[in-house]
Amino acid sequence: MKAQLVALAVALFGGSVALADSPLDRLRPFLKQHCQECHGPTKQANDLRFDALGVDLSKKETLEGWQGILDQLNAGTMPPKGKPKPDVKEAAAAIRTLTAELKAAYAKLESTGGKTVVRRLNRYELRNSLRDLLYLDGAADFRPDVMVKLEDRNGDGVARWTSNDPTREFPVDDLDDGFDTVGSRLVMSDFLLKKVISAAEYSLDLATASGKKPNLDKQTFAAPIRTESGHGDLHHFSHLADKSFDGIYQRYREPGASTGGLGRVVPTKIAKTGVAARGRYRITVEASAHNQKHPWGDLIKSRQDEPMLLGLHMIDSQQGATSDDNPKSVKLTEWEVPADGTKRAYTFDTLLDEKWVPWLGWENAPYDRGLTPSKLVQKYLPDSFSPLPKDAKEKERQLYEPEMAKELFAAGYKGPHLRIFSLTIEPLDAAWPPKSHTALYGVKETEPVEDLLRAFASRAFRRDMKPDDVARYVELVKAQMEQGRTRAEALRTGYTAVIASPRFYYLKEADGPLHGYALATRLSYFFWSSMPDEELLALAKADKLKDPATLRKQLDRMLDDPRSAAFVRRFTSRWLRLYKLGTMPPPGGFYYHRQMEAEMLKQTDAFFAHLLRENRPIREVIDSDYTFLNERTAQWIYQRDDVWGDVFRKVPAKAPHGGGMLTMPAVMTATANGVDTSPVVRGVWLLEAILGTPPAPPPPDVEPLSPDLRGKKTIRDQLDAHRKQPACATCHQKIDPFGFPFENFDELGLWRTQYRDSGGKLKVDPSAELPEGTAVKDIAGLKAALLKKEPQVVRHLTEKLLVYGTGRKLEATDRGEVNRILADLEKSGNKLRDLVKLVATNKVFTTK
Amino acid sequence: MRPDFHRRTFLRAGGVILTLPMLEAMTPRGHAAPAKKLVKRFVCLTNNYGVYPAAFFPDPTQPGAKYDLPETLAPLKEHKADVSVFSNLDHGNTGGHQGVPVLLSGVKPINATGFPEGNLSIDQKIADWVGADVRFPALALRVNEANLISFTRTGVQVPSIDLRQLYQALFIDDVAAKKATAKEQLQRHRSILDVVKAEADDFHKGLGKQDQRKFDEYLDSVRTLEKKVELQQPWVVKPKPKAPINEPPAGKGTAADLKAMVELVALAIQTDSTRAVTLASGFANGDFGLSGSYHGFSHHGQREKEVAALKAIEKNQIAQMAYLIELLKKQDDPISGGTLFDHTAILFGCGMATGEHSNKNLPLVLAGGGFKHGEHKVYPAEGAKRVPAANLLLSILRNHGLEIDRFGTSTGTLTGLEVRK
Repeated sequence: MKAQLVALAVALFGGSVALADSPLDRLRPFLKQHCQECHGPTKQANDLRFDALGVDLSKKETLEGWQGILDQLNAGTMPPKGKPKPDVKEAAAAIRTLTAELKAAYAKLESTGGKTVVRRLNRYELRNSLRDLLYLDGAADFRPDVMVKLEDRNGDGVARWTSNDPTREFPVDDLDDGFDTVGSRLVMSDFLLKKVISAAEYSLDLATASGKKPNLDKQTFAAPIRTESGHGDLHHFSHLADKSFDGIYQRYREPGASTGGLGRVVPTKIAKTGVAARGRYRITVEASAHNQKHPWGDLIKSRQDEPMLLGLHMIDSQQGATSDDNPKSVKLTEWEVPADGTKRAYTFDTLLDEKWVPWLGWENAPYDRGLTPSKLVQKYLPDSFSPLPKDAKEKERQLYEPEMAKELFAAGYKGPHLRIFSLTIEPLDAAWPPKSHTALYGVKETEPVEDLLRAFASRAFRRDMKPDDVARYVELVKAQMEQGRTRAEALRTGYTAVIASPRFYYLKEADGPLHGYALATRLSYFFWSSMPDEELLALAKADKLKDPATLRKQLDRMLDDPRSAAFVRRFTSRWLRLYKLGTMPPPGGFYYHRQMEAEMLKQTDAFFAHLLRENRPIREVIDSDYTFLNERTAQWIYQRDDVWGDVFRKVPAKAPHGGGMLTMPAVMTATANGVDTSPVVRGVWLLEAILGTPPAPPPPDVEPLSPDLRGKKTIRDQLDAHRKQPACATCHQKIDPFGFPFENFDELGLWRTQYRDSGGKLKVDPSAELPEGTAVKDIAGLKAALLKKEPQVVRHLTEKLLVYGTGRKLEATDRGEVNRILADLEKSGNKLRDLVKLVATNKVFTTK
Repeated sequence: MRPDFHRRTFLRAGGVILTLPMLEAMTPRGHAAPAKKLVKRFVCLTNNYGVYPAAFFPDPTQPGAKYDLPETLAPLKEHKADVSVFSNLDHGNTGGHQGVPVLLSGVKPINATGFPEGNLSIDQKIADWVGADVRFPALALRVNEANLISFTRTGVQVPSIDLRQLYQALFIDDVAAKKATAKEQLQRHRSILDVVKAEADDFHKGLGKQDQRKFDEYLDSVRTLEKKVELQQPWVVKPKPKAPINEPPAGKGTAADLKAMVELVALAIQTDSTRAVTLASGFANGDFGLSGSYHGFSHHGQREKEVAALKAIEKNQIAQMAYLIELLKKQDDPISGGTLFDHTAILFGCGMATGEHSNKNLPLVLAGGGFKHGEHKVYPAEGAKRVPAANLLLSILRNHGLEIDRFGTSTGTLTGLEVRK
């Protein structure tokens, strides 16, 4: 009955009845009093008439009309000079109402009705999908942590590509609230289509084995392994005494240290060429450890209470296999070697890209560049010591340290060291050509093209293809062959068409709940940013993913798979806006020569991956009693000297940085501009990324603060002045307090108590009073206050996971499901892995 | 017969005078535009950090022809009668660096969906219009800085090329084998697109309404790319103009590289290889005897050293604009008559006004193109009366020959900027 009345009313009065009680109508008296003298019934300055302005904001002109009023109010430019201004409070109330109404209207305009819009792959997903489709795993530039971008290596303003990623020249994908998976936002253009075709051609070439079968025999490099002359450290000298092992006495150094590759054992025989073909390899190392506890502690500051760790790395030989500065080096694993002098064998299976080479280092070794054989001899073998004569000739000088080393080794070296006896590289699939090739052209290379195309398309299109489904491609390939192209060329053309086809490049789903293939696809792009693998596709085909137990098992399998590194890196970079890192890098310094940008992201990866793997409480994002550090980050940013090694390890958190992710250098750098910091930017970041309550955007016409760096005023003084202006106050009272406590961290996340260039005159004041009245003294206080907002933080994270996973914005109608997730999550203690799994099984995620 | 032209020494010793070779003989024959239509070009010089305003803008109380050239604009002295300096024009947005990509569209990428042409930049708009008339309808170039200002109709940023790549693109013909490959590639792509198009049509049918609307972008892309492949076809076989200069060495610092780039731009225009150019330049550590970074300088905080560095960088950018003006003034335009300068609009500007992240009152200087110049044009500063900078963009497009009444956020052509009769 009531519905009928409304329907009648609507029929009689048009749509306006339903909107009659719009809050906008409450602004009428305000407009009448302050605006309508010029923009009313009698006069329409600038053709604007507000009394006739409707309230149906779904009409574009109406929306624009109100937006214009809001802009003028915000800017304070209307009413014009000479006319009475509205009371500040009154104007603020009007601004608030208008802002909220317009925001809702814009959201409605952008609404996709709670459905995911068909979307193309973003460039990162495209690259990963090409990798998996073409069996290119192991190709260096396809690794999940390799982010393609023009990179300025040293801050000199000259940017270069650091990767041969096939998508390197793709334009940056559009973001929606930081996310590059939102379908309605990802645009397509002819330009991009052309790039996709070239990326396909490039990747297909990479997958095609050309030339003769490379040497794929097992290769053993027995000591002496690293033999090039002139690296002049103990390792080198030890060969003078004993060639049966390569000794490691010191730690290899990080980029920027320019030690000429000291402490790195690389097989010299293949140091310039690397392995001959991309593939899986088993690496076997024979090693022993000696003198973990030793009498030479005065000169050699090793960690005598820790087991000795031998690290296995791989490096791109084309950029210097022994170079400290080669950024293309990846740590593979490390082994604890018992220091009993016994020779043991260690093995590790890994993918190696063509031209990459494994190398070894002692991870927790001491480091002292000035530790020469003569020093050791002088102190511990005084009888054998003879000082270098002051007037020694060049030749004598050159021979001196080797002579001393001989003494040292002859008497028996008592310091801690690792001995490497051999390094063996054994291809695990020595089949030639490799799978990437045979998958494209067949094993015999005479198989019917129909079969090859059908198999390829079934994987590319993520569902089983019948012969008819690929008829067009078969026709294309055959036509190419008729025009004189070789079988391989013609097939490549066919595969390129498959990759450029929307069936590969777009994620298409039918309305309603997702089943089978569609669900498998959504899951794999969620966790792997890539296509489903054979196991998932098989389960999809058999429609087994609807079985909750099977699905749960798959979720765990996917999260434990190395490909989930894509989720860790991608999601954190979107959620915490770390993608901003590198867009405003600092002018120079250690950020470049120590290659810190990559380290910063490895740290956030390590921390978040730990939360995910160990199912840790989400509150640890805000604060935790541990953190993850490697030596470089610890030294250069945390100013701690109790962390060693290149790998990020779980270590106790210490003041002032503390634990959690908020004060990590990645965040601090991404929320600064490389030169200075602003509490406003960091405050906005916290509100947006962590609390999920973004402040209203700044009104047009507001000039940014221009800091005076001549040492007169702090940014705080300036903001205080800013907040005194009533127009600014409402927003900045909500923003600035969340930013001030971060002021102790400079633009790279280093702790500071005074501002640079101020000569000690300008002290940092990190205290703030949060909008609800809580006073916080510093960053620790802020973290404590945020921990009390845990439910809000968890809710926001949940929403962001859903946006990331579904590729759409959340709408009001999703709130019930979000609440359901949160209720279930709270029962088990608000833990991250639980949350991710709840998200992946929630209706919002499993429905188009 | 085509007369052999005697190429004069391109750069005289000392680099004082650059004489461009005769245009007629350089222009690929049979490819000049129809004689009656004036052919226009557009060049935009830009940076990514705005300017130090106190040294850039003339005194606001000196509108009109009688104004003093400020420090940064001093290199334009010789050409003062042929340039217009604008005050109080901007795109009405905030967001600091986010303003940079907005320079030639007036539309922030994030708001693109609200505009019929998205955040299409005018160089790409011109390129669309020029079609296959020239080898490179538009060129996006960079010198020690990313070029962030060229956007296609669908909001995709056009990647830029550097000095070396530009030289290769303009003058170096692919070897025969590569040409054959390129030709084969075009044919292959055509066949691929045929298949893809058929697939896309099927795909489209299986979609709901909302999805179909979104997927139209893809269908559009296929059609446009097909067209472009067709248009490209003749250019693959057509020989490029002979290189009138040797390849300039690159990596010699921003001053030298930018100068060399400007010379190539002049040659690109002269050989009618392109009609629209955007060129972003920056700073490499060590340039002008300065150490630091452009971004660092732009956050000068009024410190003397940083301000001086910033001024030096900006002054060089203006000096290179003056150099381009000089080069084009010396060259007759055989297609449109007059000099090349008469038919080439040269805009200097940045979508972020200052290094302090202000997007208000953008630095904008226009030269050439057949406009009436010689004035400091001061527009209203008050909020309600401000004139959108998009009006200037519309004026440039109209002058270029596009018959349109609206572009991006424009409210009309720019009042006070008239075309020379």
